[in-house]
Amino acid sequence: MEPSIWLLQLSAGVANGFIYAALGLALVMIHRTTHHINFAQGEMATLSTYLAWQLIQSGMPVAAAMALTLVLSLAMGVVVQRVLIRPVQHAPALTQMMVFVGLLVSINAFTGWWFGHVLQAFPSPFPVQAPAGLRLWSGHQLGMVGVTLIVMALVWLFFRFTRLGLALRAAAQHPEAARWVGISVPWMWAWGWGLAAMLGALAGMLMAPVVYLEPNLMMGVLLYGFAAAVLGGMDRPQGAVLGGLLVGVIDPLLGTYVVGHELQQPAVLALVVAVLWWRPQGLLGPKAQGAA
Amino acid sequence: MSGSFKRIWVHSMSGLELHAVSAGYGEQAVLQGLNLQVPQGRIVALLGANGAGKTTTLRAVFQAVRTTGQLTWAGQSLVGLPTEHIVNRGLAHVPQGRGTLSSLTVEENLLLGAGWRAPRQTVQAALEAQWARFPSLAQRRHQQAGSLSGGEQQQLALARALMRGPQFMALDEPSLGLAPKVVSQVMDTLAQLNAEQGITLLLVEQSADLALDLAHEAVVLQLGRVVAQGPALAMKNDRALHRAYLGG
Amino acid sequence: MSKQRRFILWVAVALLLLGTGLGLQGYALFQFQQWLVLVLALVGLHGLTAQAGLLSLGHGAFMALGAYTTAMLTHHAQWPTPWAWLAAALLGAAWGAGLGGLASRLTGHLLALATFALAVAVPQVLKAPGLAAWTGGAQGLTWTPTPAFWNQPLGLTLCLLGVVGLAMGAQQLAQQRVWGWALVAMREHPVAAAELGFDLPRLRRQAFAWSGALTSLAGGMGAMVLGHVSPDAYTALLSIGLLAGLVVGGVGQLSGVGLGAAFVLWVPQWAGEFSQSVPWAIYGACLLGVAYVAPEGWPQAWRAWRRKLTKR
Repeated sequence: MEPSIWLLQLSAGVANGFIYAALGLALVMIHRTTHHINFAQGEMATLSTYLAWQLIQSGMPVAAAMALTLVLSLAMGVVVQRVLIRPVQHAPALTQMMVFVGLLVSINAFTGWWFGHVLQAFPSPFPVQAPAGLRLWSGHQLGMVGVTLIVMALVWLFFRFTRLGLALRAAAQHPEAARWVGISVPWMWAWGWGLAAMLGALAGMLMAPVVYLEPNLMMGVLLYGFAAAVLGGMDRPQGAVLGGLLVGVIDPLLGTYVVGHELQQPAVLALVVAVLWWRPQGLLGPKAQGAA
Repeated sequence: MSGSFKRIWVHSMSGLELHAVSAGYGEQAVLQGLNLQVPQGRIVALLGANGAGKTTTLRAVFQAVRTTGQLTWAGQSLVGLPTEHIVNRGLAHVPQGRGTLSSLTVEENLLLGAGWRAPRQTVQAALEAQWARFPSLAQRRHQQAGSLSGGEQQQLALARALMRGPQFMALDEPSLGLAPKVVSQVMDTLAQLNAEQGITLLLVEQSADLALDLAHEAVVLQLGRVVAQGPALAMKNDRALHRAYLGG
Repeated sequence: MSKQRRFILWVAVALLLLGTGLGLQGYALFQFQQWLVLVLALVGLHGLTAQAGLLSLGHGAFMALGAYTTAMLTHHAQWPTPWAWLAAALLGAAWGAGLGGLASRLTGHLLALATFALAVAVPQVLKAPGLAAWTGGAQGLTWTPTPAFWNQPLGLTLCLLGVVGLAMGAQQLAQQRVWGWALVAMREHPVAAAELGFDLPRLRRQAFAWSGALTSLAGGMGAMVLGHVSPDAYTALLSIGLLAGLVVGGVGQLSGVGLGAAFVLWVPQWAGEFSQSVPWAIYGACLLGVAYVAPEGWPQAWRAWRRKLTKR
């Protein structure tokens, strides 16, 4: 029996939702440790995706290229934090925003200049068709869901059971006390950026086969990732996942049945703003905080 | 001003030495040309009224505040080192308020105390040693650190500092907020650690009598300068000193 | 510089600008008018972001609001231009007050990201087919203005000069009064400011409303300068450009908006000829450069360098 249109849209929305969740998780990771929002998270992800594309173009198998890109993105995140972000760690918010927005704009310009603005096809490492019983999703969509779930589980395990993960948690939640235990809090921030960059790269590489690779690939995803993160309460990883799924599902439904395709993105964002108005701490955030 | 005790300079190559150390936050210097020696294996009490610079001295030792002057441990300079390097050299710090990582479990706190890069066996051995010394912590190893009582958190702070096998421990007001019975337990533990393992202790205390009972020597700070120092016993009996600097 | 000297300097600048406005013709006058429009927009942004510390990455949206309001009122409803401008300013104030309410829930960078989302959404909303009857859809609106005085090049220039002068004067005055100090206090020490009795949510709404009114008015006047509004003139690039202009002019003082406006006007014109990416690259480089070199403005950076040099 042919699944109905809205069921197909729902499952596509869930698959996309995981991508938004991945990016939202990257934003949460940086915000939790340093209380910064990395505006350039999307652009860094796009650059990583282009890097993967370049590796594939020069002959590397898709899966290997993606794995290598994840490692390189980890390094990129660490380097960017140490070189560009650390000098303004304690600068006023406006100065920091100059750096983040400057980074967003510069990386976007670089990507456009180096790789051009032509749409590129990005191959998917997954088979075209999903196994029987899961045909609601295409092979790639199932891959999106599966890989993102696995990576999120690995990240959770990392934070829970490794000592580096423990040190990162300590540095994020108790930066003052963590230094007395011999943890280099600045380096923990750098590792946090590295992990976030890895998650962003993953989101980009999973998104590119669907919407084609071009310099503005992740601009919209960044906003949805932001929506996912704030919906979930900005500091809760589980919240980002929940927020991502909600945004992913609401997006096509709003577009098809309520406001039409052109107003889809503004409508989703307006909805998120409305939720924040009603509940500023997000859906999973702590009990009402006073606004002052 | 009582002249009945002498200033004793203990020269030694090892131990903690501060020469002409000035430190402060922003424009105002809190410590002004401080000279302080903590000989290896001894317990020194750092006393003085609020604002005298006791906490700043400890922070200066760990380079958590900008300092000028000389600062050495076992003959090696600590000036300009990041705090984590100083901790790795065998100096431990129990800050005011214990510095427990309250959202992590007891065991996680201890694991971090050993440093995230230490080899697995070393960490396990150190962990077992702490469970043995602090059985009440062992019972609560998976409990969230923030839910422990004040006394247990103090034990946790000590245990965590001991995980790395330090040769020096600086404690900032360990008796704060604790019941007298608990405080005496803590002091006994400190005395034990000093006697058995020769750990050098620098103890900041608001309550002078408490610290003077435990310490070998005492140093009194006022407005960032040393105004008196000498054997703890002599200081304890010096009523004039008490009146002048330690609130009677 | 003493107060009298400063006053004389400002009078001289005003006269110079007046002379320029009266003397220029044709394309040069057109550029001058566009520059004035951007100066007005940056005065709005300066008060909000530089002074009150409320980070807005969406001021292009205010310009779009003012531009389209003016365009629709003069084109569809035949309103005289000054009334349309007034409506644009009032709508900008109302919309700003709404955003100001949001600012109390989303602080710092979160607010910036929310306003950025707004900036990205604006062209999409303007292009929506459902609203095309009003907005003109993807092509936008073009119209021939009535031959009234304020629609002629000279009259328009004089109106712009007048409005810019008043806005800068009012902003300067506000900075030197309690309201201005309250905004700075809110930026630097919000907790202390609240304890001193300042009503922070109200201050935010007011700051946003004033800023919104000015920038929206700028958009409206800009629409009359161009005689044309279209969605692609109000993309995220404009909002980022405004931020870059604010930063390049220097956040430390209001007088930098002239330099900033020139920057925003000419970078896309000059650099856009090379490639699509070049304006972005220049904005990015300038934002990063200023952040590390002169985050508080050029006079402050100059003083800091001088201090470093004399120390040696």
